[in-house]
Amino acid sequence: MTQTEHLNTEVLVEMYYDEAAPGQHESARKHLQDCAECATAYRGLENDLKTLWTLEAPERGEDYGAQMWRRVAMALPAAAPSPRSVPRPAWKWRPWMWMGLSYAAGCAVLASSAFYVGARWEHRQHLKREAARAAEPQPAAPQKPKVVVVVLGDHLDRSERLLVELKHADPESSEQDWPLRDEARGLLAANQVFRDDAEKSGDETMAQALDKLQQLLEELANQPGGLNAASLEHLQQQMANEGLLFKVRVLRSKNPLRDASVRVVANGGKV
Amino acid sequence: MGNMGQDDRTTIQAVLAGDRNAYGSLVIRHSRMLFRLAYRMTGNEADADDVVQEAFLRGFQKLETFEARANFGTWIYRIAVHCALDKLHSRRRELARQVSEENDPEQDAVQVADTAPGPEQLTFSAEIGTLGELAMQALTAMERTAFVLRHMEDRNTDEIAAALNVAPNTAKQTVYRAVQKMRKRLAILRVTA
Repeated sequence: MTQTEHLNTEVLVEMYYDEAAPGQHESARKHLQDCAECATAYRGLENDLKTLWTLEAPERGEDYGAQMWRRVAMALPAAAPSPRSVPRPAWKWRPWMWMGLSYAAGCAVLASSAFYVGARWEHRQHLKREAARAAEPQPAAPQKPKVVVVVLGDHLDRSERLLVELKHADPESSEQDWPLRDEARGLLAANQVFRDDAEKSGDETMAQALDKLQQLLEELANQPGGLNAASLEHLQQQMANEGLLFKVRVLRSKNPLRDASVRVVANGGKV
Repeated sequence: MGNMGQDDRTTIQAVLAGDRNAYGSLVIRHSRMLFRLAYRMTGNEADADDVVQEAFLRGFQKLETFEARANFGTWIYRIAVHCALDKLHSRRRELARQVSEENDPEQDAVQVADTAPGPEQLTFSAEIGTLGELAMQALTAMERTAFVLRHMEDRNTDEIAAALNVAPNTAKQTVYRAVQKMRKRLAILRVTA
């Protein structure tokens, strides 16, 4: 820098803030003493910077820090910042730990003993209850009714065979009595069911035929003192008058539902 | 400063060990210094309080990165500088958004606010002696920060550079640019007033 070169504003700013390099600072200060123009420029800068803005912050009281801490504490995350390394204290055996260990072992033994005694007592009580229960008379188990599945076609077949046997039964022989009665009793329940079905469905032919069959089966099954010649002739005459065998054969051969109509009935005559 | 630095280090160890309330002593010790800085940078008490709070919150979250040999006051001071910068940036964005809405509510584009004072504002400001504050409105957030640190906080170029995370020469140029802008604005204000 020579005497003829003026100081630029950047250097003046550096001088004001005392930031110019030591050699540069001395040279610039000497220039200001000799150069009126630069001296005027520096005074103008100095004046501006000194008076430009003397903004002073409002004074905060002594308790400002505490107030700020309350604000900060409310906004702080729940957890403390994680430390880089917080060494965990090394585990080391201490003589006093024997006391704690003995106490723990004692508690364990006591708890085990109590559990064992309790289990034994409970086992004995259980055996006593079982013995008392075995001595008590057992109520008879309810008998489930036997049920059979019957098909209309099978029922009509069996009924036809029964009627054929009844028609050709010899009133002088007593050997045919019991098989006819048992078969009649076996057909009663199914016949009653199919008769009711026929009435509900409006099949009058079926309903009437099965109703006549029902009367015959009931007389045959419930004949007091068994079948005798007189009662057998009476039933044969009744069957012939009604044309019952013919009607059953017609029903068996013509009815389209004979294999589709399936019902469950109680064996022994009850529905 | 030596005792204070030692106290700060002890306190920081306690905080890192899980004593959350120990952080309170750091806040109490450094709050007024940070408020002074924040007020000079923002020119507003409420904003300054927010800056101080935010600085301590960030400090708490980053405390594990604090180097044990560093000075907590310097460290939290730099954090506060960045918090104040963020506040200035957000304030400028908010101002630009308001100007945009006032000019054309249908227009989505954000316009930059004209911070030049009007005649009435200038007269009023001159009367109450806030020319400097008006002049500083010509500065960017970075320039204002650099100027405050240099002119009011008496920080040297290296410290400003460290606080702003820029090279020392950049910091020096920023201060110079701020001074030039303010002197021009001040000249206009004096004539107008």
